[in-house]
Amino acid sequence: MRWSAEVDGRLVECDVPGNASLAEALRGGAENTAVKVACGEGICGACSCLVAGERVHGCIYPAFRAYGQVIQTAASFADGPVARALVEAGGVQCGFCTPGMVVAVHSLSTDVPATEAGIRHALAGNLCRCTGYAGLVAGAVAGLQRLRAGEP
Amino acid sequence: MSGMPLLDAADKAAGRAKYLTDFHLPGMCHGVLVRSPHAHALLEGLDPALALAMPGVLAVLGPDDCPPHDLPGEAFYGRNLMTRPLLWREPAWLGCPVAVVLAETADQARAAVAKVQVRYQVLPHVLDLEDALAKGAVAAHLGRSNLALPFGAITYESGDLKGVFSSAPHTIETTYHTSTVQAAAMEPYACLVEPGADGGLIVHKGTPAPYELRHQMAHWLGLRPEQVRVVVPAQIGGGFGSRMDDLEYVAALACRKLQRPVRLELERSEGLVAGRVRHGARIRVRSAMDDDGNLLAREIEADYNAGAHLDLGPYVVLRALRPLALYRCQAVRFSGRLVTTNAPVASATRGFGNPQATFAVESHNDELCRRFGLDPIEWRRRHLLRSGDKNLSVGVVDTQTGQFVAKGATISSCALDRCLDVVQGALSEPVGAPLEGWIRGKGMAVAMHTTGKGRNEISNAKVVLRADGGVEVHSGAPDQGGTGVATSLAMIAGEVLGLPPQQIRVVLADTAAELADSGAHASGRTYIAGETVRQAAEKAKQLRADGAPLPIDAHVAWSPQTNAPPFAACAAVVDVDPQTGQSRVVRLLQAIDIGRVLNPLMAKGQIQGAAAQGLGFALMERLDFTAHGKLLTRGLLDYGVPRTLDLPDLEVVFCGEPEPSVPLGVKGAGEIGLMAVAPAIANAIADATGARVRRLPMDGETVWRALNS
Amino acid sequence: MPSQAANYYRPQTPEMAVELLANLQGAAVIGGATLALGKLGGGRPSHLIDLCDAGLDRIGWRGHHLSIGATTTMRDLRRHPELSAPGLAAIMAMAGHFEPLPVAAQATLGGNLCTGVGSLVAPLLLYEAHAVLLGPDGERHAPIAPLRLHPGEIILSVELEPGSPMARSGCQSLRRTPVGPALVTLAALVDGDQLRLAVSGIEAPARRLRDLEGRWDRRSVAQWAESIAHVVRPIDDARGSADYRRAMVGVLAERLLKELLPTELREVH
Ligand SMILES: Cc1cc2nc3c(=O)[nH]c(=O)nc-3n(C[C@H](O)[C@H](O)[C@H](O)COP(=O)(O)OP(=O)(O)OC[C@H]3O[C@@H](n4cnc5c(N)ncnc54)[C@H](O)[C@@H]3O)c2cc1C
Ligand code: FES
Ligand code: FES
Repeated sequence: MRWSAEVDGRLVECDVPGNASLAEALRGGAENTAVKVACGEGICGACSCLVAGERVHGCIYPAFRAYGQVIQTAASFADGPVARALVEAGGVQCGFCTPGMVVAVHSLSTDVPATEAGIRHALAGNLCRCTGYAGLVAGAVAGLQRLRAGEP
Repeated sequence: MSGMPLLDAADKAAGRAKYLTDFHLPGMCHGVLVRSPHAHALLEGLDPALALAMPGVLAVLGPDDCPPHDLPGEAFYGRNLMTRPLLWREPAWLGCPVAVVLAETADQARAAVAKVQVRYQVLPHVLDLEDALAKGAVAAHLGRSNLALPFGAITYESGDLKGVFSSAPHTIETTYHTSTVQAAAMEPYACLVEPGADGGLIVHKGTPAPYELRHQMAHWLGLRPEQVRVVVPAQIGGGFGSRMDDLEYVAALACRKLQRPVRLELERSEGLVAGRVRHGARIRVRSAMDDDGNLLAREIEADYNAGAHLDLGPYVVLRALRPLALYRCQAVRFSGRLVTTNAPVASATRGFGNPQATFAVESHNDELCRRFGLDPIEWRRRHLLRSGDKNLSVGVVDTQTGQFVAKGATISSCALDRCLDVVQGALSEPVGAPLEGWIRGKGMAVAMHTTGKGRNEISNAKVVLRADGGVEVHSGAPDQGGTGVATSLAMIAGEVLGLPPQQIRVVLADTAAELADSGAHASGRTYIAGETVRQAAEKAKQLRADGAPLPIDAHVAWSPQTNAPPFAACAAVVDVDPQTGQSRVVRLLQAIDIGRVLNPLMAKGQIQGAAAQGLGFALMERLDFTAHGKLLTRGLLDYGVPRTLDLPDLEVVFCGEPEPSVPLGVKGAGEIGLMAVAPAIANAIADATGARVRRLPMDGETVWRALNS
Repeated sequence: MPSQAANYYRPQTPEMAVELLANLQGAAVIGGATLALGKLGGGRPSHLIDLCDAGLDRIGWRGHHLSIGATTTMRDLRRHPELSAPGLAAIMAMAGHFEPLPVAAQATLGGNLCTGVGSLVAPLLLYEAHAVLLGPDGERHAPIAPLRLHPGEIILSVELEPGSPMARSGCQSLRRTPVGPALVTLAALVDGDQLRLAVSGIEAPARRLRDLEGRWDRRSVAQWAESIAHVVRPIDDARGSADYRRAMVGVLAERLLKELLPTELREVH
């Protein structure tokens, strides 16, 4: 089926099976490598993206439910304050979880405090097997603070 | 904390970095394995006709399409013990590959897998190590003993063990069990093989040992080594040893048949049983003590569950020696056996046989200190190895008798004393109060690991000063996904050449470069490849100083003389709910000796990542099977990879001095952070509850049983 | 990628969904699709009939029943004012387990009931809940545990009796791994001196412990917990043994009852 959406600021049109997940549409049709699929079960968050500003796990989200929507992957936030903070805090090792982490931090509403406890709770749906989360959590706290301070 | 992030970190965070699972080649087709739904069976017939009629299907390959000889595997001190089939006629574990379907798309291949008609004669199976060792046990492989080593056991003995034990006033003996654990790297297991020049192949694979793979694959396919080019992708989504899964042989077979690029990518549920796992183990520890609680002699008997074939198992079980070697006493004995079962294949998994044994020995030491009313830190200070002591865990095995012969290596640096000071300090701080109804305890443990395999290690490096002023580092060593080999090598060359690491281009692990390297095993790459690069950079610098014209191409090959063990001491504060047995780690601190810390930011990340895996190993990770040998664990959701909420902030204090055996001064950082975590937690649980848990994972039920027994 | 025939539908009414289901081979309705698309589900349907626009996300009263639409998500449940009464806290507790995962905003009540082992089943059983189904033969009511859909049927809603405004309820569960399946889920409701209990995970399917229920008699909480643990028939597998599951029913029962019972009943004895 013909699928289209605004992905990372670009209008994307491609053929996608109607029963595809959003992650499949983005990775296959839209050739977007900022969406990773690590589990395909909805548990790890590597496939995180924003649909109309709401965080979803792309591997379990129907592609066509996102039809015509504004979709943001980590590519939308490339080299931004959150990504930079994760890098600086040593939160990136193999990097397979990182794009999902960046998206997850960008999705947080203002009622999530930019503290260690707040971030640990908010990122519980994003697994990382490399870092033990220490650098990630520290980076996410710093990144969220910078984001809220309006850093570009 | 100073240090620098990985050079490719920003690309990874932006989603620009490409992993194997992001590669597409023109004309690429896809393979999906047909896997045995039984833990043990005989293949009675395989009819691909219906599958071949499905859309997009190109071929179905089965055991008959493989070369007549098994995969060679690595030799064990010169003896071939680790051969195995690729597609099995007697599938010996659930998920064992019996055929592969090749199709234009992965979905088409997956759909056709269900149409391959396989007839199995189901055979009795055995999953559990102790069942496999019992009298009259089911044979995991028809007609073969479950005790898989031809010489029975790997053994070592020194001193008058019998004499000391019979005259010692006290002996204490305890037995521990650990479970089968998945590395669960985040990137799915995958490989891509394309036709190469000269009738050969190009293998893209996140292997830790590209040159060894080239050697083995060429041998298996009857090709010359130069015809097989192994390229390790620059980005790998985690490895932890588990990527040595034989998938590339399937892709190679298919690629030769179809003369097209072939990719295989496993789903997570496949990866759970098809990726290599950590050996489940049963370890008996026995100590002889005098009246003051001094350790006189010690004996370890380790039985490791190999799963359906040995893979690297003989090397793995040998490493159960490390915690035995860590303590000084008059006499020691070691016996290590491998037991084949119909469980998933166990192999090299971060820690390589050491986490199981360290859990056993460090728990045992705590039990012993409790029995004698001794302070566990002071007791360890009395007995732990020091610089200059012999490290008996380095040596070779006589493959006729199984006898291990220690080489007489000495410990060149050891900062365990300082590590213990840090842990002692941490444990003397007030711990605060737990939640209502919960109880809090403190525990500690220590560990020793290795830097490099301690055998056949080699690395080759080239430092190129280009005519245009650019600098390149070429090394045969692969990165294993975030271990930061490329970044470390750039830092090392940059230090010598006076350049920022960002200005150095690093090229790793492409066998076409003919820079042989023994592989990213055993935490050895920064030490071995790093020292090699340092020497190559010195050589380039010297050539330049001597007025050599550009380009300069400085090549060095180097082998280490020792295995420079890193050390760890771990302190844990743990809360236990005595009613449910559930526990939470509220503080975890590791004092680490990895020699000079080249890049504190990333070294800390290695220790923390290992600690998180150690915590998962300690408290939750386990593959669960039904009595019929089916997997109950449905995926990562059930399995129990620790989340942000399951871990405290992981504290790391580096205590080492530069290691004298190399000018670089470093030791291995990749695995040491895993070892002492599980026993420190077990000891904290014992402190909190008074109950000793001798089985991993210490999930709610396991702790509850210990409390109610 | 070659263009494919249409295989995603978003019907505007439940009737249209039922009709599509009858006419498309290999089709399935999806609520949140967390299982239908994910690898944990039993294989992906070839056609998706997405219920998200079928108007099944309403929560409201139908006579003395509270009706919760099948596509209500876990997050919607948590946020709906109609469900904030202490009598419905058992449902809230289980819906809350999905937070803070993004699946909370996607997983639906209908899909949860279809899994057979969904966390919401035990708490819903406290309220004599039944499912309202629509199929080719029209509408019917059906029990939720076990829930047996006839071919071509979809769930429209779940209807329940919340109990008196004085009722208090709760639900606790215990898992081997942090997000793995529950080994034991126990839900309880106290309304005056009436007690209702339901379990899931420990037995398949979930059930009410009716033989124990009734008036709160003069036994202590600990004695009650013991009798509850005594009447369950725990399953036994590698995730958790029957012994452990039974003991944990007792532990959870004691905790729940302590939390729910008014002091005068708790301190009887
Ligand atoms: C990370 C994660 C955590 C989870 N945690 C839990 C948990 O704690 N507890 C728990 O119980 N489950 C859990 N699940 C499983 C699952 O997400 C939930 O059970 C969820 O409620 C299923 O609903 P859904 O709408 O997503 O189902 P879908 O995937 O949409 O559907 C599942 C099945 O139900 C059918 N179906 C759905 N709606 C209807 C309807 N209205 N009429 C007829 N058939 C219908 C579908 O055809 C399909 O067969 C979890 C899943 C994930 C990925
Ligand atoms: S890949 Fe989507 S949640 Fe893991
Ligand atoms: S950095 Fe590897 S999974 Fe997070």
